[in-house]
Amino acid sequence: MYLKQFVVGISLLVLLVATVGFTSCSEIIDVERHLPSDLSEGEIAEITLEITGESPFMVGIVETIPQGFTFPESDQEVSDSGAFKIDRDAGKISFSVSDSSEVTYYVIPSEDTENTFEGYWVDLLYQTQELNEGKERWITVTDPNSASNVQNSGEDNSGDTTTDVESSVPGFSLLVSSVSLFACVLFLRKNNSGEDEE
Amino acid sequence: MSKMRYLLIGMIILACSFSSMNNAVAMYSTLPCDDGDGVLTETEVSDAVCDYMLEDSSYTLDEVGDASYILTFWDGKPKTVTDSHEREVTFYRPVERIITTNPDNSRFTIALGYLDKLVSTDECTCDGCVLPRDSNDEKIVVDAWEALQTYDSGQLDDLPETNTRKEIDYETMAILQPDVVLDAKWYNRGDLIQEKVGCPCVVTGSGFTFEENYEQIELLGNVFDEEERADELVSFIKSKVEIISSVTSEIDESEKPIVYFAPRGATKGFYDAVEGRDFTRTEAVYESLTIAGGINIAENCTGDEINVAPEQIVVWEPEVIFVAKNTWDGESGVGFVTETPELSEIPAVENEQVYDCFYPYCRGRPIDRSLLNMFYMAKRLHPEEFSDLDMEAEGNEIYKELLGVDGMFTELAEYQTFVKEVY
Repeated sequence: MYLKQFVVGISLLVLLVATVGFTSCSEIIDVERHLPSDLSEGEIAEITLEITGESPFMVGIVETIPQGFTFPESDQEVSDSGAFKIDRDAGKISFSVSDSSEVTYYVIPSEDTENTFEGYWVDLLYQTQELNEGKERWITVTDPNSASNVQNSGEDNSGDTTTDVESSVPGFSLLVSSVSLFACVLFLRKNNSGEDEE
Repeated sequence: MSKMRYLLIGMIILACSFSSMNNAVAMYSTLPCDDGDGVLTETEVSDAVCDYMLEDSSYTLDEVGDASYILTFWDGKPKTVTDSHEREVTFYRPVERIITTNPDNSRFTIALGYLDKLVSTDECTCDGCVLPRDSNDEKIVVDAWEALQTYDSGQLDDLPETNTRKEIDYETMAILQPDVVLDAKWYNRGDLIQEKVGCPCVVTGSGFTFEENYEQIELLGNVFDEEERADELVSFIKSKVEIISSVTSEIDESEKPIVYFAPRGATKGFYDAVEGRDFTRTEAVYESLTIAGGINIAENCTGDEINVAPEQIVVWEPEVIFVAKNTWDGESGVGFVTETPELSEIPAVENEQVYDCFYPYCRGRPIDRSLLNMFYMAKRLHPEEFSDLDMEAEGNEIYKELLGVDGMFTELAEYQTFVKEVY
């Protein structure tokens, strides 16, 4: 039985190492969203997108702000970035970033707490022989306040898939987090009890 | 009714095929996302990127990605290179899809790290010219075949073949939408390929001098934007040449043996009328031999395809004869030379100085074999001076550098056992 557990453990380890190895081969750049700790209704809030990668890089980013949130009235007040566009109707802002480690933009929060920020980026200098590439290469912007996003970024950077994981504004999805945590605890307890019996 | 439907579907497919081919021709005449002035600016590209990210434009990821690449690496302008036929070839897109028409360009494409961008190649790259096969056409050194993975995780021979020695399939090439076709120097069809396939065609190749190899590598490095790797590769080859030349340049000319080199072997006798060559075929320039410290007795011969009379070889009185072995596992031509009465009075035969060597061709001039022959001939011609030279280690290092495969030469030597005699 111990042998079986050992084999399973080793297999998981190999899988983990292989995953890390695979992602390490690609030129990883990551885009991470940083939100202020407190978002007050009606007060302009600064959103920072931190970009990590080896120079030279060029990345396209699109962010969808939570429903109800708005951008400041004047485009000049929305971002200091030299290359951005806004779709106010869709609540989207896009950036073209070249060798810059961060871009910022400003939003005006509303009371609506049900929606979240959602963002994607794409490495524009990634060269591949594939024809007709599209959104499958878009990668979710990570949010350090969301554990699931951090984990997904490594897989995403391989450039193979786009995840649908949304990054959350802190405190806005307490219910989801609680349910996830509860599910994890249940899973762990079940596994532990099984091991003890054997 | 059913026939009409099939006819309609057929016509649509045909129209799509033509449309696709026309696009391939048109797509290389302008820069992507350009406003028409032939130069991409930061504003043009960032506007295109922002619109693409907002899903508010007709631009594709390929287009905005290519535009970003051109802005970043080409200063926003088309890139022009001059190929080995002094043709100016202009690129409007970065090279992401490559077609090679001969093994030398395939080999250097692999060595420069672009194997995963090969979308089709020639029959000899698929057969045994980059990686070896035996005389039954079976793969040998299977580990190497498995190690070289193409873009879809296939092996080299899984790539589509778009040309043979005599024929070229322009239609399939066009359908594959390459960004460049790399053609061999001895053909004269660069413009024709460019016109028919609708993408830049770079003509390049090498003879039997290392300087030509360096030029070929540097040109390909320029085409792929891999100048740094190209410099590394050139430095590697130069370092290998230096190992030998630093010793042989100190040897007095009078101490260098006079050598007859039979690069086409001798398994078919003096002359094979079908291919127009055999033992009597030689090369006036074979730098591997001269750097190794031999005097090429045919160095003053002229012409592209030199066949000398057997009597001439006797008159030349070579002290050493190298006979290339034209298959990895086949018979040697040495026996013909040593057992033919007409050649029995040649000093090389009398003194048992007739040796196999690596076949220096394979639909081109394989750099791996040029280097192997340089080391091998040096050890044969000057055994004392090169007694410390580790042929096996050098051979493995060459294949590691060119193909990224460990221990390949050790396995190859099992098929070319003559080389073990100088270990």
